[in-house]
Amino acid sequence: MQAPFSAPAKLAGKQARRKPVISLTPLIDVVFILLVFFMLASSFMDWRSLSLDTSAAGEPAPAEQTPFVVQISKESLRLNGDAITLEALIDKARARQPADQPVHLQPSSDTRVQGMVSILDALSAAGVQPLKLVEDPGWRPAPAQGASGDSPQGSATGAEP
Amino acid sequence: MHFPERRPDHTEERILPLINVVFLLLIFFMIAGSLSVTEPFEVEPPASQSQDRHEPDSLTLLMGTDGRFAVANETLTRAQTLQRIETRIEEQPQTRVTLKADGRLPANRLVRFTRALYETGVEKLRLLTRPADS
Repeated sequence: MQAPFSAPAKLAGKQARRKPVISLTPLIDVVFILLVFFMLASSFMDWRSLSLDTSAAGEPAPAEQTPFVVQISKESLRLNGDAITLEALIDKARARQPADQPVHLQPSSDTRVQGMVSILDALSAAGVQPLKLVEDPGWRPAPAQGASGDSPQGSATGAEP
Repeated sequence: MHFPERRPDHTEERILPLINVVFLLLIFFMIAGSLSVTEPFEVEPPASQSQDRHEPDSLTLLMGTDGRFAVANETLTRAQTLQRIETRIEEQPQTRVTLKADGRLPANRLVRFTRALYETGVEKLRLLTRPADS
Protein backbone atom coordinates (compact mmCIF):
# COMPACT_ATOMS: atom_id res chain seq x y z
CA MET A 1 0.00 0.00 0.00
CA GLN A 2 1.25 3.49 -0.76
CA ALA A 3 -0.58 5.42 1.93
CA PRO A 4 0.29 3.99 5.30
CA PHE A 5 -2.61 4.42 7.73
CA SER A 6 -5.44 6.46 6.42
CA ALA A 7 -5.67 4.75 3.09
CA PRO A 8 -8.16 2.00 3.90
CA ALA A 9 -10.57 4.43 5.55
CA LYS A 10 -10.31 6.87 2.63
CA LEU A 11 -10.89 4.15 0.09
CA ALA A 12 -13.92 2.88 1.93
CA GLY A 13 -15.32 6.38 2.09
CA LYS A 14 -14.78 6.93 -1.63
CA GLN A 15 -16.48 3.70 -2.51
CA ALA A 16 -19.43 4.49 -0.33
CA ARG A 17 -19.76 7.85 -1.99
CA ARG A 18 -19.44 6.49 -5.52
CA LYS A 19 -21.95 3.73 -5.22
CA PRO A 20 -25.18 5.74 -5.71
CA VAL A 21 -23.71 7.62 -8.72
CA ILE A 22 -25.36 6.28 -11.85
CA SER A 23 -23.29 5.63 -14.90
CA LEU A 24 -22.85 8.75 -16.94
CA THR A 25 -22.57 7.20 -20.39
CA PRO A 26 -26.30 6.61 -21.07
CA LEU A 27 -27.05 10.06 -19.73
CA ILE A 28 -24.59 11.60 -22.17
CA ASP A 29 -26.10 9.58 -25.00
CA VAL A 30 -29.55 10.91 -24.26
CA VAL A 31 -28.31 14.47 -23.84
CA PHE A 32 -26.46 14.26 -27.14
CA ILE A 33 -29.54 13.00 -28.90
CA LEU A 34 -31.60 15.83 -27.40
CA LEU A 35 -28.93 18.31 -28.44
CA VAL A 36 -28.88 17.08 -32.02
CA PHE A 37 -32.68 17.16 -32.10
CA PHE A 38 -32.88 20.74 -30.94
CA MET A 39 -30.09 21.81 -33.26
CA LEU A 40 -31.86 20.35 -36.26
CA ALA A 41 -35.40 21.27 -35.35
CA SER A 42 -35.00 24.84 -34.21
CA SER A 43 -34.86 27.84 -36.48
CA PHE A 44 -33.30 31.15 -35.67
CA MET A 45 -34.93 33.18 -38.43
CA ASP A 46 -36.41 36.35 -37.01
CA TRP A 47 -39.35 37.17 -39.17
CA ARG A 48 -40.64 40.68 -39.67
CA SER A 49 -44.03 41.76 -40.82
CA LEU A 50 -45.69 44.75 -42.35
CA SER A 51 -49.26 45.82 -42.41
CA LEU A 52 -51.30 45.22 -45.54
CA ASP A 53 -54.14 47.55 -46.26
CA THR A 54 -56.30 47.66 -49.33
CA SER A 55 -58.92 50.12 -50.34
CA ALA A 56 -62.20 48.70 -51.45
CA ALA A 57 -62.77 48.77 -55.18
CA GLY A 58 -65.88 50.88 -55.21
CA GLU A 59 -64.80 53.27 -52.47
CA PRO A 60 -65.39 56.75 -53.87
CA ALA A 61 -62.72 59.33 -53.26
CA PRO A 62 -63.91 62.70 -52.04
CA ALA A 63 -64.63 64.74 -55.14
CA GLU A 64 -62.47 67.74 -54.31
CA GLN A 65 -59.34 65.63 -53.80
CA THR A 66 -57.09 64.54 -56.57
CA PRO A 67 -56.24 60.93 -55.85
CA PHE A 68 -52.70 60.07 -54.92
CA VAL A 69 -52.05 56.94 -56.94
CA VAL A 70 -48.57 55.52 -57.30
CA GLN A 71 -48.24 53.01 -60.09
CA ILE A 72 -45.38 50.60 -59.57
CA SER A 73 -44.05 48.84 -62.61
CA LYS A 74 -40.91 46.77 -62.79
CA GLU A 75 -38.51 49.66 -63.38
CA SER A 76 -40.45 52.87 -63.05
CA LEU A 77 -42.78 54.69 -60.74
CA ARG A 78 -45.65 56.85 -61.83
CA LEU A 79 -47.55 59.32 -59.71
CA ASN A 80 -50.99 59.88 -61.16
CA GLY A 81 -49.61 58.90 -64.56
CA ASP A 82 -46.37 60.92 -64.58
CA ALA A 83 -43.03 59.20 -64.23
CA ILE A 84 -41.28 60.08 -60.98
CA THR A 85 -38.23 58.99 -59.02
CA LEU A 86 -38.54 57.42 -55.60
CA GLU A 87 -36.96 60.42 -53.86
CA ALA A 88 -39.30 62.86 -55.52
CA LEU A 89 -42.22 60.59 -54.76
CA ILE A 90 -41.34 60.52 -51.07
CA ASP A 91 -41.11 64.32 -51.00
CA LYS A 92 -44.45 64.66 -52.76
CA ALA A 93 -46.07 62.12 -50.49
CA ARG A 94 -44.87 64.00 -47.43
CA ALA A 95 -46.10 67.32 -48.79
CA ARG A 96 -49.48 66.10 -49.94
CA GLN A 97 -52.57 67.95 -48.77
CA PRO A 98 -54.44 66.92 -46.68
CA ALA A 99 -51.82 64.94 -44.84
CA ASP A 100 -54.15 62.05 -44.06
CA GLN A 101 -55.04 61.47 -47.67
CA PRO A 102 -54.41 57.80 -48.43
CA VAL A 103 -51.56 56.95 -50.76
CA HIS A 104 -52.69 54.30 -53.17
CA LEU A 105 -50.11 51.87 -54.45
CA GLN A 106 -51.08 50.19 -57.67
CA PRO A 107 -48.74 47.52 -58.96
CA SER A 108 -48.82 46.93 -62.68
CA SER A 109 -49.00 43.50 -64.18
CA ASP A 110 -45.26 42.81 -64.31
CA THR A 111 -44.61 43.85 -60.69
CA ARG A 112 -43.58 41.18 -58.24
CA VAL A 113 -44.43 41.26 -54.56
CA GLN A 114 -40.81 42.06 -53.75
CA GLY A 115 -40.90 45.22 -55.87
CA MET A 116 -44.09 46.39 -54.25
CA VAL A 117 -42.79 45.68 -50.75
CA SER A 118 -39.68 47.77 -51.45
CA ILE A 119 -41.76 50.82 -52.34
CA LEU A 120 -44.09 50.18 -49.41
CA ASP A 121 -41.04 50.04 -47.19
CA ALA A 122 -39.52 53.25 -48.50
CA LEU A 123 -42.76 55.16 -48.06
CA SER A 124 -43.55 53.88 -44.60
CA ALA A 125 -39.95 54.50 -43.50
CA ALA A 126 -40.45 58.10 -44.60
CA GLY A 127 -43.49 58.30 -42.36
CA VAL A 128 -46.10 58.39 -45.08
CA GLN A 129 -49.16 57.08 -43.38
CA PRO A 130 -52.23 55.58 -44.80
CA LEU A 131 -50.76 53.35 -47.49
CA LYS A 132 -53.33 51.38 -49.37
CA LEU A 133 -52.90 48.78 -52.06
CA VAL A 134 -55.01 49.02 -55.16
CA GLU A 135 -55.36 46.38 -57.77
CA ASP A 136 -54.62 47.18 -61.38
CA PRO A 137 -58.07 46.98 -62.98
CA GLY A 138 -56.61 45.70 -66.22
CA TRP A 139 -54.71 42.87 -64.62
CA ARG A 140 -55.60 39.31 -65.51
CA PRO A 141 -53.88 36.28 -64.07
CA ALA A 142 -51.39 35.16 -66.68
CA PRO A 143 -52.56 31.89 -68.20
CA ALA A 144 -49.00 30.73 -68.82
CA GLN A 145 -48.16 30.62 -65.14
CA GLY A 146 -49.15 27.09 -64.37
CA ALA A 147 -52.23 27.78 -62.35
CA SER A 148 -54.31 30.89 -62.77
CA GLY A 149 -54.20 33.22 -59.84
CA ASP A 150 -57.85 33.21 -59.01
CA SER A 151 -58.81 29.60 -59.35
CA PRO A 152 -55.74 27.52 -58.80
CA GLN A 153 -55.98 23.91 -59.74
CA GLY A 154 -55.43 21.39 -57.05
CA SER A 155 -52.50 19.83 -58.80
CA ALA A 156 -49.36 21.76 -59.49
CA THR A 157 -48.88 22.07 -63.22
CA GLY A 158 -45.23 22.97 -63.19
CA ALA A 159 -42.96 25.38 -61.45
CA GLU A 160 -43.01 29.02 -62.28
CA PRO A 161 -39.69 30.61 -63.17
CA MET B 1 0.17 -1.90 -6.14
CA HIS B 2 -2.54 -1.86 -8.74
CA PHE B 3 -5.99 -0.40 -8.15
CA PRO B 4 -8.18 -1.42 -11.07
CA GLU B 5 -11.23 0.51 -9.80
CA ARG B 6 -9.45 3.85 -10.11
CA ARG B 7 -9.57 3.94 -13.92
CA PRO B 8 -13.31 4.41 -14.57
CA ASP B 9 -13.38 6.97 -11.83
CA HIS B 10 -10.85 9.06 -13.73
CA THR B 11 -12.59 8.88 -17.11
CA GLU B 12 -15.81 9.96 -15.49
CA GLU B 13 -14.13 12.97 -14.02
CA ARG B 14 -12.55 13.81 -17.33
CA ILE B 15 -15.80 13.85 -19.27
CA LEU B 16 -17.60 16.05 -16.76
CA PRO B 17 -16.57 19.34 -18.50
CA LEU B 18 -17.78 17.86 -21.78
CA ILE B 19 -21.15 17.10 -20.25
CA ASN B 20 -21.31 20.61 -18.86
CA VAL B 21 -20.71 22.10 -22.27
CA VAL B 22 -23.20 19.77 -23.93
CA PHE B 23 -25.81 20.67 -21.34
CA LEU B 24 -25.21 24.36 -21.91
CA LEU B 25 -25.55 23.89 -25.67
CA LEU B 26 -28.72 21.93 -25.14
CA ILE B 27 -30.24 24.63 -22.97
CA PHE B 28 -29.18 27.29 -25.46
CA PHE B 29 -30.89 25.55 -28.36
CA MET B 30 -33.98 24.84 -26.29
CA ILE B 31 -34.42 28.44 -25.22
CA ALA B 32 -33.03 30.48 -28.13
CA GLY B 33 -34.42 28.46 -30.99
CA SER B 34 -38.04 28.08 -31.86
CA LEU B 35 -39.13 24.77 -33.25
CA SER B 36 -39.64 25.20 -36.95
CA VAL B 37 -42.67 23.74 -38.62
CA THR B 38 -42.03 22.06 -41.92
CA GLU B 39 -44.24 23.63 -44.52
CA PRO B 40 -45.97 21.78 -47.34
CA PHE B 41 -44.20 23.85 -49.98
CA GLU B 42 -41.34 26.29 -50.25
CA VAL B 43 -42.19 29.96 -49.79
CA GLU B 44 -39.61 32.72 -49.89
CA PRO B 45 -41.07 35.88 -48.35
CA PRO B 46 -39.94 39.28 -49.64
CA ALA B 47 -37.18 41.18 -47.88
CA SER B 48 -38.11 44.42 -46.17
CA GLN B 49 -36.72 47.05 -43.83
CA SER B 50 -39.70 46.71 -41.53
CA GLN B 51 -38.81 46.63 -37.86
CA ASP B 52 -42.08 45.12 -36.71
CA ARG B 53 -41.71 41.68 -35.27
CA HIS B 54 -43.78 38.81 -36.48
CA GLU B 55 -46.58 37.88 -34.08
CA PRO B 56 -46.21 34.15 -33.61
CA ASP B 57 -49.74 33.64 -32.29
CA SER B 58 -51.41 34.82 -35.46
CA LEU B 59 -52.87 32.50 -38.07
CA THR B 60 -50.30 32.01 -40.82
CA LEU B 61 -51.44 31.57 -44.35
CA LEU B 62 -49.04 30.39 -47.02
CA MET B 63 -49.23 31.57 -50.59
CA GLY B 64 -46.94 29.81 -53.04
CA THR B 65 -45.81 30.83 -56.49
CA ASP B 66 -47.82 28.21 -58.33
CA GLY B 67 -51.17 29.25 -56.93
CA ARG B 68 -51.18 26.92 -53.97
CA PHE B 69 -52.31 28.02 -50.54
CA ALA B 70 -51.85 26.41 -47.17
CA VAL B 71 -53.38 26.93 -43.76
CA ALA B 72 -52.00 25.03 -40.80
CA ASN B 73 -49.91 22.63 -42.88
CA GLU B 74 -52.74 21.76 -45.21
CA THR B 75 -52.58 22.59 -48.89
CA LEU B 76 -55.80 24.15 -50.11
CA THR B 77 -57.18 25.98 -53.11
CA ARG B 78 -57.97 29.67 -53.02
CA ALA B 79 -61.68 29.16 -52.44
CA GLN B 80 -61.08 26.61 -49.69
CA THR B 81 -58.64 28.96 -48.01
CA LEU B 82 -61.10 31.83 -47.99
CA GLN B 83 -63.79 29.56 -46.62
CA ARG B 84 -61.47 28.30 -43.91
CA ILE B 85 -60.61 31.85 -42.90
CA GLU B 86 -64.24 32.84 -42.90
CA THR B 87 -65.26 30.08 -40.50
CA ARG B 88 -62.29 30.93 -38.31
CA ILE B 89 -63.29 34.60 -38.24
CA GLU B 90 -66.84 33.64 -37.30
CA GLU B 91 -65.54 31.63 -34.35
CA GLN B 92 -62.93 34.15 -33.26
CA PRO B 93 -63.54 37.58 -34.75
CA GLN B 94 -60.27 38.96 -33.39
CA THR B 95 -58.08 36.49 -35.27
CA ARG B 96 -54.99 38.14 -36.66
CA VAL B 97 -53.87 36.76 -39.97
CA THR B 98 -50.31 36.74 -41.25
CA LEU B 99 -49.83 36.17 -44.92
CA LYS B 100 -46.64 34.40 -45.91
CA ALA B 101 -46.48 35.10 -49.59
CA ASP B 102 -43.64 34.45 -51.97
CA GLY B 103 -41.69 37.52 -53.06
CA ARG B 104 -41.83 36.41 -56.69
CA LEU B 105 -45.60 36.36 -56.91
CA PRO B 106 -47.27 38.92 -59.16
CA ALA B 107 -48.13 41.78 -56.85
CA ASN B 108 -51.62 42.09 -58.24
CA ARG B 109 -52.40 38.56 -57.21
CA LEU B 110 -51.42 39.41 -53.66
CA VAL B 111 -53.50 42.60 -53.70
CA ARG B 112 -56.51 40.77 -55.04
CA PHE B 113 -56.19 38.04 -52.44
CA THR B 114 -55.69 40.62 -49.70
CA ARG B 115 -58.91 42.30 -50.70
CA ALA B 116 -60.71 38.98 -50.72
CA LEU B 117 -59.41 38.31 -47.20
CA TYR B 118 -60.67 41.66 -45.94
CA GLU B 119 -64.03 40.88 -47.47
CA THR B 120 -64.26 37.69 -45.39
CA GLY B 121 -64.03 39.85 -42.29
CA VAL B 122 -60.34 39.77 -41.42
CA GLU B 123 -59.50 42.87 -39.42
CA LYS B 124 -55.76 42.72 -39.04
CA LEU B 125 -53.71 41.35 -41.87
CA ARG B 126 -49.94 41.45 -42.02
CA LEU B 127 -47.45 40.33 -44.60
CA LEU B 128 -44.56 38.24 -43.38
CA THR B 129 -41.18 39.47 -44.54
CA ARG B 130 -37.61 38.60 -43.85
CA PRO B 131 -35.05 41.15 -42.69
CA ALA B 132 -33.30 42.75 -45.65
CA ASP B 133 -29.73 42.17 -44.55
CA SER B 134 -29.81 38.43 -44.39
